[in-house]
Amino acid sequence: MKKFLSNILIFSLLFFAFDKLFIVVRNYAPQLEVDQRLEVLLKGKMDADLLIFGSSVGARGIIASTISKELNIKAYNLSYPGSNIDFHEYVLRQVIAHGNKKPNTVLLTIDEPSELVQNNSINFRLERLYPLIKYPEVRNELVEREEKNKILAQLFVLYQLSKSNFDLRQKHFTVNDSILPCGSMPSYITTNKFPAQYEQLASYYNKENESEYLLNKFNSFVDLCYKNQINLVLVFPPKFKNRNQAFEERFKELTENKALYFSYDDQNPAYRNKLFYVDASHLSTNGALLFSQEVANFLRAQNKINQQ
Amino acid sequence: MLFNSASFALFLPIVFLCYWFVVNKSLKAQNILLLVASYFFYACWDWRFVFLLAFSTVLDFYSGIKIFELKKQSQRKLWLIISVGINLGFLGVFKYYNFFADSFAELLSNFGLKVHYSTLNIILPVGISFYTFHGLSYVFDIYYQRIKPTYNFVDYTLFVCFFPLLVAGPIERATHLLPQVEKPRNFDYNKAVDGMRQILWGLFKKIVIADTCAEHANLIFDHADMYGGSTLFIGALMFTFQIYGDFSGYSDIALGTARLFGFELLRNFAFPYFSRDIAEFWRRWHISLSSWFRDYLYFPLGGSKGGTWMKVRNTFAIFLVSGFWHGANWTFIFWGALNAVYFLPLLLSNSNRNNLEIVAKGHLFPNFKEVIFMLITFLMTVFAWIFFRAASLTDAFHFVGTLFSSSLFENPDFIPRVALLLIVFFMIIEWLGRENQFALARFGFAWPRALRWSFYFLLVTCIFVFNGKEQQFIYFQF
Repeated sequence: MKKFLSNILIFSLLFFAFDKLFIVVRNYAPQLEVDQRLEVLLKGKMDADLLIFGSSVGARGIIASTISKELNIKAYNLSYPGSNIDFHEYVLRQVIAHGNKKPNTVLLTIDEPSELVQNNSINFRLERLYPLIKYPEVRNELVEREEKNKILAQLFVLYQLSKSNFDLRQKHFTVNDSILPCGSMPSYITTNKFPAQYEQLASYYNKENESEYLLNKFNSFVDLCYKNQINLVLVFPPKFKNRNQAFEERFKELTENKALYFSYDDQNPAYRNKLFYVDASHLSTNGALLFSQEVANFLRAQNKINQQ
Repeated sequence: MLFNSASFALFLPIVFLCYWFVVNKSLKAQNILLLVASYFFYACWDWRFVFLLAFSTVLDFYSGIKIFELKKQSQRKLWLIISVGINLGFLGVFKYYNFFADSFAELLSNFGLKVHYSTLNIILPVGISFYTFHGLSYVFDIYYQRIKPTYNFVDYTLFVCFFPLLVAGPIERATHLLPQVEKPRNFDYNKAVDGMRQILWGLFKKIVIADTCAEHANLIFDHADMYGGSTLFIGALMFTFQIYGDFSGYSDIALGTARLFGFELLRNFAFPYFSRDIAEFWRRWHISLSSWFRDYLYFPLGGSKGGTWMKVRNTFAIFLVSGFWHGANWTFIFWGALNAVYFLPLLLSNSNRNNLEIVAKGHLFPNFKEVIFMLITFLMTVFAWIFFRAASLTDAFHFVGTLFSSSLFENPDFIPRVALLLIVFFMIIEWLGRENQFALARFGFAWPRALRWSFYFLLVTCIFVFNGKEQQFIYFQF
């Protein structure tokens, strides 16, 4: 028994020492990333007056630099394609928690119809967190989400890592995922993913499909803005179809008077033109420029922006 | 409490140290400690089902004694029927109620009749299929006078609910495990080291192989309509290794853990993917269940002694019941039937026992014929797993329809390179260790300790790095 226990102990101690060699891999991981927006936040260096949150519809559909130019403020896009409200709420918490300059206004782009519905196309983008695992806040978040065990994550560096951390190649932008200095990710590709004609659909929304978890995250997002005196604007970006009033009404009902709403003008002929879209749900660069201009005009009209 | 969880990593050393250092002087105290630990382990899932487990244990313990003590055959039979009836009744309610209710309503609706029934939201108690079969084997063996009952309730309860095998087997027999429970156990260094190696290999199989393959298998099976044949083939391949890594990994951890306490559990897997025919595959896959059905269903039905019709009937019976044991879904039943169809030609041509030894025993490489037969058997198995994995028979047939279309020869939508590399590494180690109880049993024994430990470091590193959210073992749902 003594031999067995001493062998186990020696093995464990040697492994514990071996494990610490991987601090190099962990600490080097952020430098390999091409999208460094989240790390800027974690370092407390975000100083924008206006921040944009959302999934790909926010990332591709709103060009922050256009708003900056129009309103003479610093706007930055923190939208992540494929992310959901759970992830947006996490990013907003980081903005508030890490000594970043508190934004005056936050735009939250809403995904129709899946903003509050569990689905596979948008989720919490864990893989954006793993490259930043050297930050204790990121590790804590993974522990909170039961992705990692707290004690093991404190003891072992290897346990903190994921297999993606061992891909030591420098990441590069792709045609579909290039980031402008303002954080926006306009799309330069075209697809044929359109219905034959501009769709006129009946207004419909069934709140029974909503996920309670996502609903709580949405409410938390709204409350974070409210408590921190940040102006929240819910933005309903254009789609190659008419507006869904029932869907929009649901968000008005949820936010009560804690947010402003901006939806596109579906009578605008530009939004019925396929040239302004990449596919039925995402604006092309031209569409994004047009829509960003409209968002800026709306904000100016609302006088919610501290003009500088 | 999952074997691949941090809580088990804490639970196991505590029980181990108490077992060998605190209560090591008394067998009774050791058994009580293991019993308490086992009930605690089970209560961590859902404490409410502890009462069901306890009831089932008391029922079989008492039935065993009554069957043994009563002289009249009719009274013995009555107690057997009571025990089997109640055990299968519980299994039926918890596992199959909704299946039968749904199927009945669907059948009636085919005749234009609408029935209003309520599908209950029944939670399946983890391990119920396994501990029910433990208990049943015990009463059957007493009824058929193969064993005498134990009058020690602690010993019997420990036999039923020893924590390494409680939730997903191996399905033990009283003839094998009960004598070990009753006999004093001494610490054996080699056995304990072997146990640690088996746990390590089991964790590697589960966390690195199964969970990695699961990501791709789930993605492809859940969106099968989006992919072409070549991608679906990758999906089926991924599930093939997922289920093997998952279940044999679980079994390795169970066997290894039991070894740390001085127990030898029944072997559950013996390198099934190196089988040269389906009969060999079934001698190597989930051995404790296959042998259970053989001994308590196939043989009592007459086995393969009768005429051709009898052989066909019994073969179908054992495979269909085996499929149904896995779950209340037509997919499992079809999977069982498909395996019966695979198996029958071998049985009818008396070639089902051609390959009893492990392939290429004593050689590094198999011969050409063995490679071909292994490949054919493997592909047949991959095909059958499609039905096991699919959510419904309709999904399975759509999957198969797309798989065997011209798109099978197109480039796949993606190639899971990391998973494939891991599978190659895994299968090489499995091949090299195929003549042992488990792949790592003698692997690297001739190497210097530094090299051997470096290899173990590599395995632990992989386990740590691939360890994400704790993933349930597939067989817990059965």
